[in-house]
Amino acid sequence: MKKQPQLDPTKNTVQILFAFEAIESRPNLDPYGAGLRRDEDTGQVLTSDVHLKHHIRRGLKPAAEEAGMEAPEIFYEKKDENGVSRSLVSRVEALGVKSAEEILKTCVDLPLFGFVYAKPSGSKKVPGESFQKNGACNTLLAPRTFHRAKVLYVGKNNAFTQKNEAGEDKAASGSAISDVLEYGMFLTLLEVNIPALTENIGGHKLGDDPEKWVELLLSGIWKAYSSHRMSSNTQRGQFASFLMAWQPTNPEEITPTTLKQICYNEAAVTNVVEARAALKGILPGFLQDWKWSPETEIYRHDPRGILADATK
Amino acid sequence: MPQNNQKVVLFELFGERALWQLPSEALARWSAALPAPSALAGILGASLGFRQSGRPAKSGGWETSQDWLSWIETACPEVAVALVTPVKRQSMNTNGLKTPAELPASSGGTATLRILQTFLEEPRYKVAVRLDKGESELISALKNPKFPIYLGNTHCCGKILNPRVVLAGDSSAETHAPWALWSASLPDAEYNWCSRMDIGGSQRLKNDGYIHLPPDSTAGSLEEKHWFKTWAE
Repeated sequence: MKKQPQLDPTKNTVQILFAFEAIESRPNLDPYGAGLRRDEDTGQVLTSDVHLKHHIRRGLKPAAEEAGMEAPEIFYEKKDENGVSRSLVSRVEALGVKSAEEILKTCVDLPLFGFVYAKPSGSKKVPGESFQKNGACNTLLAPRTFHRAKVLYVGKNNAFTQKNEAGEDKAASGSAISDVLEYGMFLTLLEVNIPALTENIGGHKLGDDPEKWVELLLSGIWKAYSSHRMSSNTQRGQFASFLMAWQPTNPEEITPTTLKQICYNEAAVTNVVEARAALKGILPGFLQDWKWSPETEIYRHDPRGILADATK
Repeated sequence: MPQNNQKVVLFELFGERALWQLPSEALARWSAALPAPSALAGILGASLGFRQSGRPAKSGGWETSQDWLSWIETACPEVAVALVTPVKRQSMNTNGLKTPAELPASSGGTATLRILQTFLEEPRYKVAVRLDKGESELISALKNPKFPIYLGNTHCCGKILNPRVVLAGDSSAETHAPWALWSASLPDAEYNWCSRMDIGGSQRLKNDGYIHLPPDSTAGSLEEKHWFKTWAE
């Protein structure tokens, strides 16, 4: 069942639980080692919150179009419409804004995730004042598999040799090994702060209704991992599993159980059947700790019944 | 002498991770173990809903909410803090600044500055606050904070748990971990690594001082020596 979110005006926060699966993939990589991010204590695979937000930004664009916004802008888009890398100056110039605050009111990702605009020194082509605004949406728990994961190592051999420093052909073609996550069901818990959102969207081109923006975010999350996935090396093979939002009553009574604390560690989970079975033993207690209840739920998208099955 | 009959606001602070910045660390981002007085003041201010403009301050940094500064002046909050979980750190390499087109072609055109951030993993703090006025207002705010709570950095979201009013001598104000001490200048070298726990931008140092745990610290009740003032301009 998918509902349009209806916010309780007495509550300041919305919590969002999002699950996605990664199958034979390399979700996010350590930029130094170029390997999977792993928790050595538990065997979980994790991604940074920045990686998650980068995905979601891609989904926000079609979600905003669906919400009636013509040509929505995402501020942190790495490349322009021709695939050319953008500088801060060229990005801001393309927006055609007169003030730094207007950037916030133009782009759909900034009221949710925030930004710091440090005016590029020496440029007269962009607004001259610095500006910063904290985002309304952050991860309480950054994405990680809720279980110990199995990592495989794949060897790759080049077909031909390469040149050495002297310009001669090397004696042998090179080879390399990369790690691959066989299967992982990632969970992440996000929080949307409604007063911060309300402040950030005042005067925005998409309107200033917080319910509409929460709906936009939920839609953007789902699209980023379903209809608008990307095929890049660190983003392929990842699929949305379920999405749920609720507004906890008495948030000060939450038991802030983390995904590390609930890690399913009896065996490495290697497919969705095992994941669904393991989730049954973990999710009800986790949701109870974070003050979910049917009464506090405001949104659910669970097309495969994974969530319903786990909380039955 | 501790005033055991004095009312104290007590709460726990928790996050999946924290990144309390050390002034001595620029991009390496090694988290201190304890928040600075100013960081605790910011958490109180966010709970109470003091808005920041987002504009730069003339003196550098970002403009501070005048309402928040007025509240600090009126309520005169003092705080005490104890880290009740073991210090455990988690490293994460991240891509930082990107400078695509501004760089000359000779530099390769595109560069990404990589940052190693070392967070505290799943820290939990006990925080006590005593103030001249506005106690009930603060308790209400802590129960349902108006703005997000950050543990030193905007990608370290935190939660305030179980805020309540107790007496300073109450057993719930005791911890199994020592309460931190504050000093205006850098503590003696004989202090353990925790003596590095000074926080805030360098411009705040003279106001923030140093939060530290002497090596012979023992767990126990909240005493007068554990209280320190929050930062204000």
